[in-house]
Amino acid sequence: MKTELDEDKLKPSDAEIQALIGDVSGFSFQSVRASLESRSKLFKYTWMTLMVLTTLYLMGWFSGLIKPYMAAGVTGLDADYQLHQIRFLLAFVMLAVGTAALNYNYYVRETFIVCAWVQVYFVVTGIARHLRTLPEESVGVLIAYTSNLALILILLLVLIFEETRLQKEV
Amino acid sequence: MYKFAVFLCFLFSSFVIALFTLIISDDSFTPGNEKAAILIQDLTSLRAWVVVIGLLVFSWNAATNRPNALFVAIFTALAWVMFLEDYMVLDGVLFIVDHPLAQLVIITRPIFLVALTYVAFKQWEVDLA
Repeated sequence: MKTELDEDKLKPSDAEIQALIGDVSGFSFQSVRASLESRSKLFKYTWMTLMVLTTLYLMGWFSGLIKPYMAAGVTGLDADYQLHQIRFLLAFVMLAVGTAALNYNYYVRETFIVCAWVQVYFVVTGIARHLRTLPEESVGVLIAYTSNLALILILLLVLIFEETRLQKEV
Repeated sequence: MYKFAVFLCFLFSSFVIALFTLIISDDSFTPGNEKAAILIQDLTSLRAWVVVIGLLVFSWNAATNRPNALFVAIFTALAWVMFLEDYMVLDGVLFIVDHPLAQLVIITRPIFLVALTYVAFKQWEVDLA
């Protein structure tokens, strides 16, 4: 015959319930936040700057403000426009992968290193393309384009160096 | 399987280098769009250099027993980015010629990408072993 004491034993304790809830390892911005909190302030603010830049870029893109500074705006070539679109999409994919890496705290340094090299590829091909096709009077476009890409690359490098420093300290 | 995948990657790389050598030495390779000639020239030469650098560094690291995983991961990401750019964006302007070597490169590219992705994952295990 079951007693009340036996039934109480079957019930999970508060600690066990909390442990079960805590084990859920899905994606959550709380985890990203916690991951950022466990890192240095420089890392945190660099990541936030990247996010702000992305938002500004989206605003500039949809309002048409950045269109004159794109290669397609000068060359008028469809391929340049499409190339920009696919790179725009790839940048968001990299941002999503970086956020997921932060969320799970999984190969963060390696993820950003891969992103940085893809960014280097964008910088090299983009600048080479501008240098080959832009008219001489459009130096301003080249400077704007280069500084934009270089800034993102520098931010990625800061993230890599900070993560490397953190890993050495642990 | 790992060695076979590496072999496939090397085979594809040699096709690309051979094709690039043919392009710069033979005038029969013409772009589909005259306006895009410079773009094609830049992208093709850049890809050839990426392949050459990739082969050299991978071989050097393998020969000196250095870790190769991160390096292969970077090149796998670049290979996929270039594939997306070529296939989804530049398909209309890139040279499509009847030359068998160019067709061979186009046909074997997906196999190369799968092989390279496999090597990228396997390389972490190889480095840790």
